[in-house]
Amino acid sequence: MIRIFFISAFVICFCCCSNPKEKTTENIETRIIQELDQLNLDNQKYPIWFISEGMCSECITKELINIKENEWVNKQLIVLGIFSNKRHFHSIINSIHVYKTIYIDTETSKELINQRSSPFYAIYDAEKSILLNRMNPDPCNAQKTIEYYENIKKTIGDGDSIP
Amino acid sequence: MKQTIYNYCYALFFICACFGCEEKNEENNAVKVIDIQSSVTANISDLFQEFKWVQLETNDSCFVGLFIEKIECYKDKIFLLNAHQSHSNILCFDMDGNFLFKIDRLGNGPGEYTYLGDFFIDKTQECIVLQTLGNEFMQFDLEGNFIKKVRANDEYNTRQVLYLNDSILIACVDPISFPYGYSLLELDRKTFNIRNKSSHIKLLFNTGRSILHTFNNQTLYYSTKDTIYDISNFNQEKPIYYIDCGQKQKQFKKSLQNIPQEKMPKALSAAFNEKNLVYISYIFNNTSWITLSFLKCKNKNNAIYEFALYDKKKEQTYVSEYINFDILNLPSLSNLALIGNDNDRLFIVMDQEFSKDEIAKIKKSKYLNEKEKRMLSERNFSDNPVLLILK
Repeated sequence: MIRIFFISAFVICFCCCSNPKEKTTENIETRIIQELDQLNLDNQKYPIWFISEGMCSECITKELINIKENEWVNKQLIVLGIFSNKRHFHSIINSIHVYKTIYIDTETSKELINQRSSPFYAIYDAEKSILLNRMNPDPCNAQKTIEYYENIKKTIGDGDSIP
Repeated sequence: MKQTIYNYCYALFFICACFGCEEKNEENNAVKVIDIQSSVTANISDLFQEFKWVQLETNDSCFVGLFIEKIECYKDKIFLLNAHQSHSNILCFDMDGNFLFKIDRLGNGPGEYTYLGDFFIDKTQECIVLQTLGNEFMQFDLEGNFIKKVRANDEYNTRQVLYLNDSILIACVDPISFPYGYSLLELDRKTFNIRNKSSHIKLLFNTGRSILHTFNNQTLYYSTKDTIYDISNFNQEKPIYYIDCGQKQKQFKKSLQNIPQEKMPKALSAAFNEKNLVYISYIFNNTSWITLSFLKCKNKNNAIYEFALYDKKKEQTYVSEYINFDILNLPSLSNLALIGNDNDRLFIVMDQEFSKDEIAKIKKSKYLNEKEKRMLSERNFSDNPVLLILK
């Protein structure tokens, strides 16, 4: 019985340690929430878009076009980016006009930048200080993003809590 | 008798060998060698007479992205092809670095593009032409106002388009691009339709950023076999320079001929990282110099720009690694991107922040005025790059 307990504990520990994606997600999201909390926004929900250095350029370009072509998202969106040079971040998001931008220096987030991720959208609930409805867009499927916008527009507009 | 036959054979062999050598020498004389392994040292102040430092203005409208891909100067304006991590745009500055306008029209609407590959100044129509998709072009006036979009009837994909004269453009085609089997296209300047195709030079892999260049009615074309051809006569390519990148690179390029196209990117990337090969991205030609800009692997996954200057009169090559930047009171500088030229000027992009020691040395330079010293020493990492114009 004791042996089974130890083996189970070992397997659980091993699984936790060998799943860097989960850990990455958690770390990036934690950092994003920290940054958003510092904005002291009204207790509402806000759509966010996260990008970082080294991410697939086509994925970012396609989303820039989607954002630009959706007026509602343009007005509401908060864009966060982890880059080694502030100029590189601003040069990307300069072609769109969004609600707020947050630059995160790689110097303060070295671990995060080394852990590859892809651009994603989410909803930031300022009241509860949490991220909801995370979505990784598909560069070959603009419709997925457009449907996501419609979905979050209803949610944020209605003020309903998101499951 | 036997001895006489041997003597005849020796004599015949000797004559053949002599003629053979002569033929080879003639060939060598025709094709000059640009030795980018050269370690000849020089001061930059000995190679050029004039130096102009242009700090490109930094503001919310004109952030330079990851790198500048191309520079063209026309009528006292500097046009940059500015590559972000996401997309590219065109930034325009005056010769003092003041921002004038940008062309940044990302989108699917009229007058917008989803991809921007290259641009050139059409000197006949006095307009900026953007190559937005394979055979699609957008024209803007020299103030950045949209004129029209033109789509050629012929289907093709090109990486670089070169304005040649009032009626012809030359475009290069990568090995995996359409139309397959061709490396160069001659395009009609107005319709962008294909007038002529060339398949004489076989490219091994996707080429660098700017491998076509024209100067004084001579058009040069760099092939991936490290040879520069004169293609002024479109149907008759003539090799005029061989770029000696060392034995390793030569052997590797030979081995590439047996690698299928789909496996080429992986083989190239591995060789670039492990064998310390060079990837030539730009060639330029002007009154005095043949200039090459190339990427070299500094350490794994970290490539830097270097350049080689070939003095056409002295037939001598200088590589940036061995050029002293005495104008800044510094030894050689790394990661300088030489990415543009015109008749007698070369344009280098400097995007580094200097250390305290370097700043102290720069402040003592006898080649800089007070304004330039201040500009270089007070540079911030987030500022737009500095353009160094050499003449």
